[in-house]
Amino acid sequence: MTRYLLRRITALIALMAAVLVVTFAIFFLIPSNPALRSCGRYCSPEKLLSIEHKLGLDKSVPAQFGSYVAGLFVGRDYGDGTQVDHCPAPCLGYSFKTDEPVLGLIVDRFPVTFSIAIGSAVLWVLFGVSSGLVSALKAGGNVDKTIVGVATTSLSLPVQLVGAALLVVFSAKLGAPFPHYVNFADDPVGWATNLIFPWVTLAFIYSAVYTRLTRTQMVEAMQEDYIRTARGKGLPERRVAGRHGLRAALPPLIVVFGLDLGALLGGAIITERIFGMPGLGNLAIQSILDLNLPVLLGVTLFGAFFVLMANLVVDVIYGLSDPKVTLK
Amino acid sequence: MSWSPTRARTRLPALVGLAALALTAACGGSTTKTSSGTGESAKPVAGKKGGTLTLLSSADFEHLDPARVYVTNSSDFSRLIYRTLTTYDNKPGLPGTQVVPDLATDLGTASDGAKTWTFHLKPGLKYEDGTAITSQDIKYGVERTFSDLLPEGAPYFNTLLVGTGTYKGPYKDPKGDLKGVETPDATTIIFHFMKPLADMRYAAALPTTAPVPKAKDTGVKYDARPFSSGPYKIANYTRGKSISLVRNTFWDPKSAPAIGAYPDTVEGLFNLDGATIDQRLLADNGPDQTAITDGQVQPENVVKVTTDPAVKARSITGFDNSVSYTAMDTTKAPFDKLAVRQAMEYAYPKFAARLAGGGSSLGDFANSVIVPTLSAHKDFDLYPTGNKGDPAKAKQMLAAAGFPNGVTVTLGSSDTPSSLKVSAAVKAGLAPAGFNVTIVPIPTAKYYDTIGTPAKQPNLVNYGWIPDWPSASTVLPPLFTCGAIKPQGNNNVANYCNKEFDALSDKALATTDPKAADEIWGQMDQMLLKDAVIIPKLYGKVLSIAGSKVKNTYGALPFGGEVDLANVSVQ
Amino acid sequence: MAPSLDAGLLEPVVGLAAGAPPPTRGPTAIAFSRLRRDKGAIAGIGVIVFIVLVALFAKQITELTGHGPNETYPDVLNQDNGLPVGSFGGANGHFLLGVEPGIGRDILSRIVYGARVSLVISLGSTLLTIVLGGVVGAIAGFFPGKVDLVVSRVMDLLLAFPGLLFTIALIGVVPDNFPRELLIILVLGGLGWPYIGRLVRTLVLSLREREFIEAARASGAGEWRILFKEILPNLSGPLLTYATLVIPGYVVAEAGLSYLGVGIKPPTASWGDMLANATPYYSVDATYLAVPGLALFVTVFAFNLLGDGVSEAFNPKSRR
Repeated sequence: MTRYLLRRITALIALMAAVLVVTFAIFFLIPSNPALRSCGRYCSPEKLLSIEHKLGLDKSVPAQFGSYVAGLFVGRDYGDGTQVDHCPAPCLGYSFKTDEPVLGLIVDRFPVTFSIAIGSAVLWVLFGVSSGLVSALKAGGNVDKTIVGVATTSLSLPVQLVGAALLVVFSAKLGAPFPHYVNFADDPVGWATNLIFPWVTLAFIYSAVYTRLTRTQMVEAMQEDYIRTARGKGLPERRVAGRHGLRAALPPLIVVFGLDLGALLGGAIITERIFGMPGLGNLAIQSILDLNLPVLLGVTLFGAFFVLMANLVVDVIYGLSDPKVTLK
Repeated sequence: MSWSPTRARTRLPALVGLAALALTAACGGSTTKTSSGTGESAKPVAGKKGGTLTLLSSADFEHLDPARVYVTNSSDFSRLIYRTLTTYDNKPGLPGTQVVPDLATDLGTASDGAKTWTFHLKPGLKYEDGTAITSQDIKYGVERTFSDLLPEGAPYFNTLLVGTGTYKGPYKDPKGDLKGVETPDATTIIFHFMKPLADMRYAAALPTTAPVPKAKDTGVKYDARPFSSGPYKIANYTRGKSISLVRNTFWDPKSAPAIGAYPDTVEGLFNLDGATIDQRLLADNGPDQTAITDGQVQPENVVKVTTDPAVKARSITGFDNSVSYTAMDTTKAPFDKLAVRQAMEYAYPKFAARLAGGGSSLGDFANSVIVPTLSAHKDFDLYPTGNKGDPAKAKQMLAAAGFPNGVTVTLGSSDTPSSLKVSAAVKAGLAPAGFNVTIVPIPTAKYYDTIGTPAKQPNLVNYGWIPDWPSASTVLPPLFTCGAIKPQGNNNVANYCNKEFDALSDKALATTDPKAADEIWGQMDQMLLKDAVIIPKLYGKVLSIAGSKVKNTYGALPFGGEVDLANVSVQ
Repeated sequence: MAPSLDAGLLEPVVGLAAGAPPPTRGPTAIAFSRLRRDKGAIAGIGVIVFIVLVALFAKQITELTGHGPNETYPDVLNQDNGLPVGSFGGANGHFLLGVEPGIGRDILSRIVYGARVSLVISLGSTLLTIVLGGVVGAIAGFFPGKVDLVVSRVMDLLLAFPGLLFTIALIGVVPDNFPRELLIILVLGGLGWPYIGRLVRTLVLSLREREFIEAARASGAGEWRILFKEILPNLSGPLLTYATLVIPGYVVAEAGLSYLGVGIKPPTASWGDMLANATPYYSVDATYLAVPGLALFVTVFAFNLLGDGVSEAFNPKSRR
């Protein structure tokens, strides 16, 4: 187990390094000059050069990569003359636009993204899994058909339409306040009420996925021989389903849930955009528009980290929950 | 007055902002040519003290550090936090484009042919911690703008002062001294310029003259927490999320007659979706009743804002001082030929283009570069077609110029949906004239990069401009003189170089009598159209809405027609 | 099943990985006969056939109405604000689904041409996903050792990127004159194939131990020949199932990219772009929003029905 973990963590680090190299290469080869965005209205060649120097763009791409990697492990200095700021390791560089350390920006935005992801995950697991269970136990009946129909419908709606519909109906027409993010620590109730729209929007789509997935897994599980045996022993159907069926159906659900959650923690771009939530997704889109490469790189790395961590955690949990799998 | 190149105040920052350049500058309701703001009067405004004003914005300020503030919304907001030598008057409309003394006792005294300017500070001025504001602090603020670390501000002091070129700012050169600024005592400051600066009273209203105490300077971090000399100080500022201002108790309102500073607190919320801002302001619920925005009403909501009486009463309209135009690259075929350019002037479908961008609320049709809200403006229309375009005439002219089968040209368009829609309308409108347009969509992030690089720019590019201060001197020279052509970051997107034009420009800049100077600027404006360098499209207008409990919501021309934040009040 | 588009993962969740299909021709035929009895799937196929026909005959359809997709009719709009005149987005006998605000293009014509883009992008991305995933995954599974190691690591790497964000960034760095449809297909397919690639690898790992492979080997067939003639045909079931499950995801993805401003660019008509344009108009011109929204929804719904049908037909356990 320990060896397995060590090996996986090593692989994770190697993959992160690969992601860094690829992402850096792509972003920093953009055929455009981010320095021009700070150069302003009367941009002289000298001024452009000095801005390129400030942003480190006057160095070759490999040299820029070198100082980025160095920053990760030993930190970097930023500034000029008497105004030099030290960015301690792990330093993800500075925003081209606001000169703030990228790590600080990410740490600042992450709670928003985290709140959106966790809240909607709770909702979609509650709704998705329970309706999937009902559907599976009544498989073939009208209840099942209705649930599957609703799930397929909501699955087919683009997220931006769902978001727009919520805003139109509840805020524009019925006068509910428009959401804006409130810190949990400042006002837990406000935090929750303002997040209802993004939660519902994401849960709407994801619940459908989980309904269908749960249904499929349960239907399959309930046809296994040992379920028939349990039934044959005269156990009540509810008990058969709850104790034996669900146990068999659960591991694949856990895997998918882990991967989905991991991906969402990197930022729900469209949802954050619709509801103006200042999370990582919004930060990423803004940094693309601003050619703010260090921020874009930082958010991408951060997102990749969650995807990889989710993979690792899921595999470990899967290994622990399924005796047939051994971790080695 | 400030630059708004990406129309920072349009909501989806940059994304929709560039739609502006496709044609629209802004939105606005009325079609009058003279007024700006709902209540045109020469009387200063007054309001009720107290309450909280909320600013809803699609993007954070680009910068708040006085050395780095340039665009309109930041300049407007900056007056809440720090003071400058002079500042714009608190009057709606054209009277609001006049400056009045702020830190200084007067608008400055010129000597040496307007190359030297002397200001004295009012007595008893204090920062947020109660310490005195000195002329040395103003000098230090100017010195900071010479640093490579803070490059974004308006480039006047750091290009015109004596010492430019050798002085590298206080960080690289801590022992150095900016020769162009003298501070004989704590309340006197003398500027020495290399060239005459007749417009110094306006230049002194730029954030560049805001005092920065050396002890409080934090370099690039100053942007997040500028030290207050103005009516408010920053209680909390999270970049990209929110800002909150509380009163600076050491600010003396009696020393600042043009600044009302009525609300007790000001809250700003950033990165909101444009449609959401509209919906919040239209719904006018609870705290949104005391909210305003630095953005525009979205095109789809213009009808509601201009027709629903209850909403219209809360709307803010008027010119934003901007002009938008399409430039023809005069150095490349086919627009190196005057006759082809003139044919384009006749062919261009201004009406269809404006309609595609949102219609009449965007602004009035333009025939010149100098906007009607500048004193140098002249009324003329060298290519009269009723703004609809005259394809038949254009086709004839093209044929006479040697293109009987028409000609293919490229049109650079920012790749936002609205901008591309305008370009599609232009393409459709130009086709019958024989101009076969190929639309080149340019990703928003690269738009200026691409069109500002003559080697890469398409034949036709969309551009827009707001003067740095209300004088044609900050319009024509930076946009159309030979010296303005640059291999990168080019502003002269027509690549127009005419020695005669340049000579007139130099003459106008050296003319101290404003009337005489205006005469020359007007003549140059006509020359541009005679040479058919650009197709002026719109004198832009704003259309914005405020919550029902916000008062004094006139659009301030110096700030691109945005609400004068220093003088709004809430009930 | 659906893509979690917002999370950026364009990965369908497929429950069929568990059992490799038996290596005979029979099950495919059985599956198709099952599919024929699935009313939902048949309805889905019907709608899809209709959409395909509309896309194929876009030119003829617009010739009937007389309005090309890029012809502008600004005169039918309100001349002050550019909004369509009349209710239902200016729909009338000439413009059956109304006109586009500001510019006056016929929405019906753009919907019809937009069907092409939607189908080309979703089917193209799907094809690329399946071909890449099938071939590369099969190679990895069939040649254990170094090849498998390298391919698997590449798949891990691609799976680690935050999908949507990376898609946007990639589209942003490609030169502007690169054909946008092709670019979107390449990016969606290029980032989407590892999911099926992994699945195929697992399937092939078990297939290569089967008797009929041994038999082929004994008869002297080369490794590549075995891979392409024996292994790949046996993957048609899962590949087909996967394909029908990812198509709706790619339809939605194209729309999402347009919403974020990196999708298909006008003047090419696309539903995603129309939807992105129309979203702000919800309060003043609901028809404008409803038409592309409905087109998108119906298409995705139909593909979802078909996907479910195919999935169940090949994996009948999930049905009772």
